[in-house]
Amino acid sequence: MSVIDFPRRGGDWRADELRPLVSLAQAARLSWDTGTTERGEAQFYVLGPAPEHDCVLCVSRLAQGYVVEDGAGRLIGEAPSLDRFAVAAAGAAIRGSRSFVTRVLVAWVTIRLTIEEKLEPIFEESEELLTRFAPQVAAII
Amino acid sequence: MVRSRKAEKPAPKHANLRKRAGAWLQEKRKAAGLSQIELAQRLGLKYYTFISQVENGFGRVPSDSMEAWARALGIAPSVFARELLAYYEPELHKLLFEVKA
Repeated sequence: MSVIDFPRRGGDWRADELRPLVSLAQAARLSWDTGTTERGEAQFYVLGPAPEHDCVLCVSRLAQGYVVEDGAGRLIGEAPSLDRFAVAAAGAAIRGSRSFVTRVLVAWVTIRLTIEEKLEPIFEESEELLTRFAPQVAAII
Repeated sequence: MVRSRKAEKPAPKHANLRKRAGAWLQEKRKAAGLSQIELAQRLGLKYYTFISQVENGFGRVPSDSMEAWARALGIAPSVFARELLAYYEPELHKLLFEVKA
């Protein structure tokens, strides 16, 4: 297998990237840390329970998106955005299912996806209605 | 490279030993003249990000891939495993190699 050598996308995590990742760790009541690859790409580590505090999930930001691995280097998912990452994390949690950590991760992701699923159609429908009826309403007024 | 921003301080003993293991692995990789990408290639990994995870001291080399890592770095597998055991399982290492019968 050849290693994917993408162009570099170095630098620290941006606040908007870090927020959902930190939420994920906090939801699971786990600590976290950051680091970089040799080429300067940002990595986010979710650390397991004491006393080992081994890495249980690692998110790396590469040029093409985000790569999610577990603490043993198993590839869990590749996602162009952090929203997709949430789905990958859920998949990992279900497959790995090591401890309470994974159950909390599943719960967090499920809640988030449920909220998104419920809210998105409402917004879409409102937008559609507005587009369809706004000219008629405007004509009446 | 690690820029620390911990939400909560990990237990120093385990974390420090893993960091030392990571530093040792990085030193051996560099001595073998390999980049993280090249090492990942030799290990058959799709991405090199796991190499970084281990070298930064957050992940461990899994037991089932220690031989592959050792060979990729040009180190005898038994020497490699013994060295890593000293970092990952210091008590076991002590029992196996340090405590006299």
